[in-house]
Amino acid sequence: MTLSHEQVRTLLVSLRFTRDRELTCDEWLEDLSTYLEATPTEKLGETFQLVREHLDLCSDCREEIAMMVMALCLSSE
Amino acid sequence: MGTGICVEQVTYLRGRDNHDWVRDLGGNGSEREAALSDLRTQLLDRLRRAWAGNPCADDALLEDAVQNSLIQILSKLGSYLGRARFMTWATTIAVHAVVTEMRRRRWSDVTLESAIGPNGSQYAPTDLSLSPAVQSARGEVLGLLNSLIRDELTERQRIVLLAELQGMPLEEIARRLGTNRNAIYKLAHDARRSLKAKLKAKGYVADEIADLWTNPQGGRTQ
Repeated sequence: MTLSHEQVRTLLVSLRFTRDRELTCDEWLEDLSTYLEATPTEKLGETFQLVREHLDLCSDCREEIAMMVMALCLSSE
Repeated sequence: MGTGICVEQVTYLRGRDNHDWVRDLGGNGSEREAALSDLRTQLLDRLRRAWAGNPCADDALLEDAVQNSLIQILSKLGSYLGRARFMTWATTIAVHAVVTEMRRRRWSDVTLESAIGPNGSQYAPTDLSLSPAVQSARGEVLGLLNSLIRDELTERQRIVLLAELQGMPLEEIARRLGTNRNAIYKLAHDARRSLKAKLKAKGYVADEIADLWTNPQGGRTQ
C-alpha cells in the first residue's frame, strides 16, 4: 500500500501523543458522560487529562463525541 | 377518594431524576414498562434530531439502535454511578450504538486485505514544494518508519496500525480479526509505543519528526 502524505502526518502526530498510559475507547466511553457535563474549566483539569489525550489520538471517538454533543445540545432546545 | 392521576402520570409530569430512572428501570411491572417507554421516546427524539438530514441514518436504523441501547442500558444499570445525569449517560450509549451501526454498514464490503493493500507499507513521495533539506529529512524518516513497521511490529500490530491509518474504525478491524475494540486499541497502542521507542533508540524524537510534516514552513522553497 502507499500511505498518503496525510496518513504519514497522522501517524507521526499520533506518535507525538502516544503515552504509556492511555484510555481505551471503552474506558473513554465510561468517563464521557461526566466529561460532557463538566464546565470548560473542569474539562481542562487533571481529572479529564486522559479523556482529552484519548481524543487527541482516536478519530473514532472524536466522531462520536461530536454526535453526542449534537444529540445533547439539540435535545435541550 | 382518588385524585384520578396515577403514579406513572405524576412521574411523567415532573420528569424523572437520576434516582427515579434507576429505581424504575431496575424494578418490574408497570413502572419499569413506563420508564422503558419514556426512555425509548427521549432517546429516539435525541437521535433523530442529531442525525436530521443524514440519509444514511434512516429511522429504522435509529429505532434499532435505541432498542439495542435499551438492552445495554438495562444490563449496565448497576455501573451507572450518578456522576452525570442519567439521560446524558444513556444518550452516550445510544449515540455509540448508532455510530457503530453506521460504521458497520459503511465498511461492510471492505476486507482488511483490501484496506491495507498487499505490499506492506510504502510511502508516497514527499512534497516537492519543500526545500531539499526538508525533503531529505522526510525521506530519511520515511525510510526508517517503513522498515520499523515492516520489521519491528508483530503481524497483528502492523495490520491494525495500517488499517487504522486507512480510516477503518477500530470496531470494524476488531470484527474482522474476531476480537473486540478494546483489544484492537491495545494492539494499536503497543504498536505506537514500539515505534516511538525504536525511533528514540535511533536518535529521533517523535515531536521533532512530526514537525517535519506539521510545521515544515521553515524548509519551504521561496
